[in-house]
Amino acid sequence: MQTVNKPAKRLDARDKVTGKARFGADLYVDSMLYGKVLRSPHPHAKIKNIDVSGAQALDGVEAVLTARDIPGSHTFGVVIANQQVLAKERVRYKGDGVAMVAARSKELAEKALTLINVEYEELSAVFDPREALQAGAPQLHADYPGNEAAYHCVRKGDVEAGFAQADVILQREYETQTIEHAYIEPEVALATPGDSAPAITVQGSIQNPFSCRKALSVVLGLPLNQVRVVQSFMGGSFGGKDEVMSTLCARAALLALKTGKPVKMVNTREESIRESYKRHPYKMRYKVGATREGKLTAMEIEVVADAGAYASMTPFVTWRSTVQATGPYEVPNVKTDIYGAYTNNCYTGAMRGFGSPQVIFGQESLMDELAAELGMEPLDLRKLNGYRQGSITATGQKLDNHQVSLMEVLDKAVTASGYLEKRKLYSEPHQGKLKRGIGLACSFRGCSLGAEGVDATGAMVSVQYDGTVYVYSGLAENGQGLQTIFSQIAAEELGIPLERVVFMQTDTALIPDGGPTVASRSTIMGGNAVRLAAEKVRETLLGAIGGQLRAGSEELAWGNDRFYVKDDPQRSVSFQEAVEAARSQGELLSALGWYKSPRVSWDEEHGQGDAYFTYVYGCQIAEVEVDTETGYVRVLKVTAAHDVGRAINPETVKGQIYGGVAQGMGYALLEELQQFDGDIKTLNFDEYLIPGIKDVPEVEAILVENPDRFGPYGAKTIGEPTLEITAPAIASAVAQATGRRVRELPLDLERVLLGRSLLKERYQRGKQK
Amino acid sequence: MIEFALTRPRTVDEALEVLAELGPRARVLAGGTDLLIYLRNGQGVEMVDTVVDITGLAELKEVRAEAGELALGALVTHAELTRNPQVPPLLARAAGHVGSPQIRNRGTVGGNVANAAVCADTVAPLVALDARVVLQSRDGQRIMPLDEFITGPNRTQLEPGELLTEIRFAPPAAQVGWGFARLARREALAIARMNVAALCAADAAGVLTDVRIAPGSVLPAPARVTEAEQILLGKQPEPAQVKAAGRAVAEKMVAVSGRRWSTDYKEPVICALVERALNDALGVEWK
Repeated sequence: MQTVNKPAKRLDARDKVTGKARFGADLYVDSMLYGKVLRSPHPHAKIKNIDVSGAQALDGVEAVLTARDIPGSHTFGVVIANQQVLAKERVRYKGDGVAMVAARSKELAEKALTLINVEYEELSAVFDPREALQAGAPQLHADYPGNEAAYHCVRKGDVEAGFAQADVILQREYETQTIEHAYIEPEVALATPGDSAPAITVQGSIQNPFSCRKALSVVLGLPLNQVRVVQSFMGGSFGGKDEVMSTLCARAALLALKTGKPVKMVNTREESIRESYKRHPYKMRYKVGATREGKLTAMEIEVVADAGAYASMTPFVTWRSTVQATGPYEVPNVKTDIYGAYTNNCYTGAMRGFGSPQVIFGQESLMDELAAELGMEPLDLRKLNGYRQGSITATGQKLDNHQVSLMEVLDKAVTASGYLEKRKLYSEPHQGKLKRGIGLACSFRGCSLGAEGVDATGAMVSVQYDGTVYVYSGLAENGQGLQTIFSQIAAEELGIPLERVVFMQTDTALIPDGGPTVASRSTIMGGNAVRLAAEKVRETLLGAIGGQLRAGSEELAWGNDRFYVKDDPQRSVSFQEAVEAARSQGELLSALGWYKSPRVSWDEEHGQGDAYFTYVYGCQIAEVEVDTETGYVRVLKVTAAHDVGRAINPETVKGQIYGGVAQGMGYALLEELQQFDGDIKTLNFDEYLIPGIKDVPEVEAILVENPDRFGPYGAKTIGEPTLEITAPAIASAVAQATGRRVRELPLDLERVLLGRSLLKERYQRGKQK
Repeated sequence: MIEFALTRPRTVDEALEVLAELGPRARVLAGGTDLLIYLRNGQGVEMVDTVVDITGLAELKEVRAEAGELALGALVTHAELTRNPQVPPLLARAAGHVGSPQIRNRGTVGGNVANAAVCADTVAPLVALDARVVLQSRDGQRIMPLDEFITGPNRTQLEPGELLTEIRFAPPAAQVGWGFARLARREALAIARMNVAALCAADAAGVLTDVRIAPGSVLPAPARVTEAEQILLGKQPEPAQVKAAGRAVAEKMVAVSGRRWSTDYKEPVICALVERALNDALGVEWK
């Protein structure tokens, strides 16, 4: 291979670093108006009346709209269509929009919002997801009685029998917090009405252009081919620019169609944090049984996830949790119940990890606690129970169609980090105030969508007559490096230098709907589509030069910008000559590649099935120093070993690992959306703290490559596995350093020093701040 | 963002003239690292219609040594404090913790003091240094101790028409020990949860002749905690006395502020931070 599996410079790096890249915020057209939204001051209320006359009368205001002005449906949703573009009868959280304006300046638009009078009737609200599921709780959605947004289970074997066989039974509760994606670029959209078809074109920081198009079609009451969505350069997404962007785009489009002018909408950071969906907080109850020797006999898991006000991705997020809740361990008897509960909190949805970081924090903390109970080394307990070739998962899937590399990633991370030596060293008594600890966590993760639904995607490779190439993809570049990976694959298949490939930003008018850019599915799914497309073009080129080289297609090889006879490389033509030959023969040098995922299966009633067609394995080891007098945790080093199948671009893989560890570290130590009674207190990055460059430790990235039969060149997945195991590794390291385990995230100063958060006291009503 | 007029006086006298004329309608822009946020949020600037930009006043950017004292112009930046050799290391260290390089390049010592946040990193060391502030107005000049100037969280004795022009103190002799302990939630760009400045001078026998302990984010208005200082003064300090000084600061905090949501955490931690600052000042290893 010449391009694939080799480090390649990111194609977008120069433009992003030099400021040439045009992000959504840079979009500007002379005649454009500015849109702004009025949001609910109440977490739960009926809308009695909206008087927009004051805003309408303001000079410079060109449109004021409420839900009643929406021509199509005022709701949309990928799974359950209850997301409100503007609230019609009821607001269900403080981020709900109730009215919006388009005006000649942003200031005028903001002023106009103050002139809108909304009459509310406040309703009783519920903020605790467990309370929400109880009888008598305030109800959010008539279609979902009992506030049950989602429920999934796993039933394997007989847990009662399993616990009866156990010598040790441990019950623990773990809790994770709500967190914000913290993409550096707040949401932005520019909607332009068309004089002719399409009726509306929207550009912006859109993670999933096709999901957005579908939402716009539903809301605007327009057929799909009248809606065009074009992605701008993205300032980060991490799964966070799906529904919230569809909402913003729909609003901008409504205003644009109403006024006949382009309308731009940009959220301030405060608006973004107030309205945009978050990562679900989980309340988890784990019960595990094991023999004296450490063999797991049973696991019972009950999880309640806070869905917030709307469904968003809750049904899918909790499903992934259900599949992965036991971790990568053989457990003969499993009973898992996971609920998603509607509450009047900010809604929660997709975020890098997608239901895995929460349960992994639970199960990996649990494994360390169980090891301590059994007097075993945490590593030994994992090796005794960890998945090996042919293991059966909790959902009854036999892992035999790919390399089960859990032991390999464990061994590589353990060796590289000096885990065993350090674990011993740090367990010796130490008088100082700064104490050290080391902890590990590991996971298995299903690649792509699995049994969530249809999983297929496409890409087009188009060779131009000067030998340059376009790559179009239904999946989008969200900063993860997709365009470089896809371009590398096209270059590899055509045997040309990477520099000749241009990746076109995703545009719904130019390429078939290939599903959303989620679930770490780009490389494994989209990479296959690009490969198939490029192969088709290459076949055409080979056919066109076969006569000239006096060889059949199967006798030819390619590389270094040439096609040549395998057995006689001197007999060759340049790529450019091949292109000219094909062109003179009237051949088509563009092709669409379409890749459908291999079969998966799922029985929802028992939670059994082949949930994903392949899995990846990872292990991270964190070394920390804890100030035992203040509770301050400093992460000294993280060693991360991840099986990626095959690294298409090893540098991008490392980048994913560095970024994932940094984000996972924020989850572990700093990040917490402080939300009380539906009111978000941390509305900007002065109070919502994420790790900075000085906090992020040395990260040693270890790339493990066991090529997968399904992935392009064997490549699998890396985006999400990198962050899902960082927090439990850090938590276990802190537990070793302090001798006390913290069972809720984040491990902030107060939790580490006192064992509990002080935030509830801080925000409780009537108490002084 | 509120609407306001911007004026840029060319001299201190011109600035004082404008401030006298506008009174409470004016706010002074120095580094702007706090003011711009207030202007954006409309917080505490309800009466303001004019921003007086003093960033061009070169005379306020100097560090001058005179008559055994050091005078810091109000516009001396945090970055300047960290690198100017005349600045005592205690203050230089504290200034180096403020925000980020960008904020230290913009933010000024005068602004940090006049904004009077309880967590202001330069305030604790300046209180420990017994600093005084110079307040000028068209009608004259007032000089008062810093711990009197700041009366509470974001509250000072600065009157409409007055400009804080200078901060003065007697720099400690080179052999005077110092310590600055600071706790924040992350390594940089993080507001101090608490901080403590300590200075300890001893005679040849090691008997402490001067002890100053000034905590930040502990008391509503900055002050030296004399109850803690007295424990050590005149002693050759033992570890138990250093610990006791820490407890005295914690007791003072609870006595003045009462028990609040954060007290369970702050009480043990301020003890530890005071101990660390004192140990650093005494040259005692504590880690």
